[in-house]
Amino acid sequence: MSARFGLAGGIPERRVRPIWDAVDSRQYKAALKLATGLLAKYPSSPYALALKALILERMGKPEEALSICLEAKDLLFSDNALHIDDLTLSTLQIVFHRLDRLDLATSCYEHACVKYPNDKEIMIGLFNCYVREYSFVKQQQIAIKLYKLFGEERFLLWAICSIQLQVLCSGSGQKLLQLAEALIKKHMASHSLHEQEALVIYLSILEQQEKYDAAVDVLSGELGSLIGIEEDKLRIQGRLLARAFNYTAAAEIFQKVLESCPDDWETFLHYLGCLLEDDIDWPKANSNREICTPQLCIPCFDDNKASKAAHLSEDVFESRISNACTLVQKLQMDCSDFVRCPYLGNIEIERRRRLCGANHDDKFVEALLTYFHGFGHFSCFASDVKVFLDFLTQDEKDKLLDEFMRTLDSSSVSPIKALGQAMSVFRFQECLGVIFTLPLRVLKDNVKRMLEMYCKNLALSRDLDPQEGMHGEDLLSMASNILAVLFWRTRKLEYLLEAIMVLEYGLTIRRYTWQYKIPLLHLYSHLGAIPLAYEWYCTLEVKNILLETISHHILPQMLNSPFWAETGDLLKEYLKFMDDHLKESADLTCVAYRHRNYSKVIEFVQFKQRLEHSNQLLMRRLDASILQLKQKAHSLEEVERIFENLNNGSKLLDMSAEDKLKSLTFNEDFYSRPWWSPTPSVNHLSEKFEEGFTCLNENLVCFNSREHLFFVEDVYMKKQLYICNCNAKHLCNYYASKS
Amino acid sequence: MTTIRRFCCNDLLRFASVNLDHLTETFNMSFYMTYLARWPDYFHVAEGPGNNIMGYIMGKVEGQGESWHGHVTAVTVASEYRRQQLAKKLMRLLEDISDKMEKAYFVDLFVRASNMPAIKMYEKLGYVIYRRVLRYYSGEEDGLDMRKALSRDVDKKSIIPLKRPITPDELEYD
Repeated sequence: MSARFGLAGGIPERRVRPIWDAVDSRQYKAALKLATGLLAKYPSSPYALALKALILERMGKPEEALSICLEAKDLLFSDNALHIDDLTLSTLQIVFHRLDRLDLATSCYEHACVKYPNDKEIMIGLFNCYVREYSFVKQQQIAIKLYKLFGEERFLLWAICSIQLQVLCSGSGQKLLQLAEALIKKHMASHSLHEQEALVIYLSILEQQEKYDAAVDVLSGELGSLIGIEEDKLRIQGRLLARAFNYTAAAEIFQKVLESCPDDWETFLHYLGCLLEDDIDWPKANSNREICTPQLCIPCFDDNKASKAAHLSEDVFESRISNACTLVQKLQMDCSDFVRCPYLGNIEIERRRRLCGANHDDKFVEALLTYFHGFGHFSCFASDVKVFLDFLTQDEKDKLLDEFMRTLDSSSVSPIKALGQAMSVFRFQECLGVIFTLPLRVLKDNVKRMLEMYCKNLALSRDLDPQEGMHGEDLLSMASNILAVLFWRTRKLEYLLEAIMVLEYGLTIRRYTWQYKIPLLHLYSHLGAIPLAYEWYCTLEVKNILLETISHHILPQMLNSPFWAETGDLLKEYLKFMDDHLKESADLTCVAYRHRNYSKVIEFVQFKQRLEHSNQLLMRRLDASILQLKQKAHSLEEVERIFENLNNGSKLLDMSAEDKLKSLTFNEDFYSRPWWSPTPSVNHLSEKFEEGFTCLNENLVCFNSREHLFFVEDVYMKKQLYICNCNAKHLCNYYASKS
Repeated sequence: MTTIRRFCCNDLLRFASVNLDHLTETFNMSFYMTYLARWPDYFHVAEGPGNNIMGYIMGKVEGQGESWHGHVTAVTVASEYRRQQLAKKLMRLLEDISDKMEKAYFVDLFVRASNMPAIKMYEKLGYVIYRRVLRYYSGEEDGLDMRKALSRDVDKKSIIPLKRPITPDELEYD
């Protein structure tokens, strides 16, 4: 804070401090009075003007603030004798930023830099201006200038980041990467590198150019010690080796990681992929995730890719698999009760065997059974093994289920474990999709058993805090899922009402369980009870970034409802969140630069782009205009004013222009949606069972693969874009007919 | 089944199932991003099979002299992955980073005085109640400042409990 009070424009600190104190405590009227007094004493001080402008802006008087800022700017530009200090510039910058006039702030700094070509602080200020404007080329130029003048490593890295941003975000040529590499190499020759983040950026520059061997050499040398966590270093090393097709060395490295982190599933998959020389599906060198966090991706579960291991001779394949088995057994011996990876690893090994045509069918099922015996009582059992179920024959699925049931009957474990195992079996059935094929009578029995089990085991949670999740909690969600199936198959409304009652009952026992609230709000929505759905949605307290990922649970229904005021609030909150983030994101990028976390710089810029291109953001901007028109439909004047603000409708068309639609991103989290409405535009309960089942069956196949999300996104996007274009055209036609 | 790695921005779009939990706060973006921009080594996420987010920990390192310490701002685990000692694993990571990389004297955290399950868990992990902070949570509920000494604090001075409670404005760090 002391930086605020330097001797700006020759004004002593004692005169300035009370003004800032008043601003900080939001006493703007008092602040304005003091600032006006200061200005009377120093009428030609740009700093005094900037302070007054800052206060006026905070008071909600943007025009006055801008006018005073421009006056200050004119003074800076016209009076050559006037000393320009960083404090004045940064205060002006704050106001210009809030007024959305970054260009004016930049021009002040540019002018100051010409006047004082070697002033480090002012040059850094100009660099930050370019960061805020996302002017990557200019960022690079000023960073290089700073580096040449002051020789500091951080300035070189600022330039390198600016180059990477040009390549990653502006599609500039790869030649720039060569320049970046040459710059770092030259610096390293005389000064070496001193920070982990600097090394990470250097490695990513090499990796983007596919110079994997060079990157491995760097990492294996002295510089490798800059990576603070040894396993992180090994993971990067393994990835680089795998990318360079040096699978043997990569597998050895991944094995080392597993020996110290035996529960690292991702690394296990990489280890196996390298051991079997699979074509591992690495993320692209320019993907956000990789640049920001030097780490690995999960190899694809796709049959074709996995089966490429068939290029190994049978003997070699078996010997490698045997190595993997030995490692897995060793890890199992060394591990505690909670370490699941080596056991799931066994299942994966058997899956690979099966893909390569090896005849070890029993072993696959046995591995799954062993996993159930060890971890069947964990809530995550079903989701852990879900991905493997596609590789089982129907007989094997039946056999597994029988075995699970037998285990339940003969199990002598504690009541909590027994409950956990029973729930896993129900979830397993859900994953297999048997709830769509079992006879109605069996389904009803299952619901009954689940509810009885829930009630019987309530006592197990007696000592838990009411805010904590309780044992057997999921039984009610699963029961409501089956009741929804029963409704779908019979069209008897009572099943839906029972589903609602089950969830409402659960919420009286545990009022914070979101896993009940979400299906409940969808059931209410389906029945047209939007106020109840909205009420439950509100209890989820969705805010900030969750607005982007979770608000799809309620917004589409609300937009079609007559509850315009509440819908308006939802839209306003979402749009404000996005606008605020898009506005402040660059400031946080400046923080990352300042704290030398260069990988985060790249990440922040890419993330801002991702949110900026959000499909939902585009849709909600359109929806907000349409909602306004609905709300003001009684007044032609108001409707016309809304259209004027929309550039007579062309603003909406611009928003849905083809080039913008191409880069749309889809950030909604659909995984918490009920099975019968996997996306906002799909509702199986509205369809007849036979028709919907065919469609759901197709989807279920996708659901079990990693393609699921893309499938959903694709369908969703097409529908949304269609609606979006229709809306825009509709608005234009409407306006044309009015005028 | 835990791949623990640095948290990145894209994880913010994937952590809904963790953050919908009633006791997990969803902060504003500048809060998360400031942590990422300043203390990326203190922000880790645990992923399970299928890239499911199991939980995460966020924290920071701050202070001067013998007050140089790691701070746990939030640690949370999705309900599906509870009772597997994941929180313990994440806490150990933050303690290791504070101890070995940052050479801090202790790690501290704040917890609601009523949150007995969490207090018990932290005690099991070696934390002691250092002091009570009156009306720390929204001016209503008291907070407990819990601490665990690291190897640099040889005499464990940093965790000797204070005799009287303090008010939030007496806190050295937010």
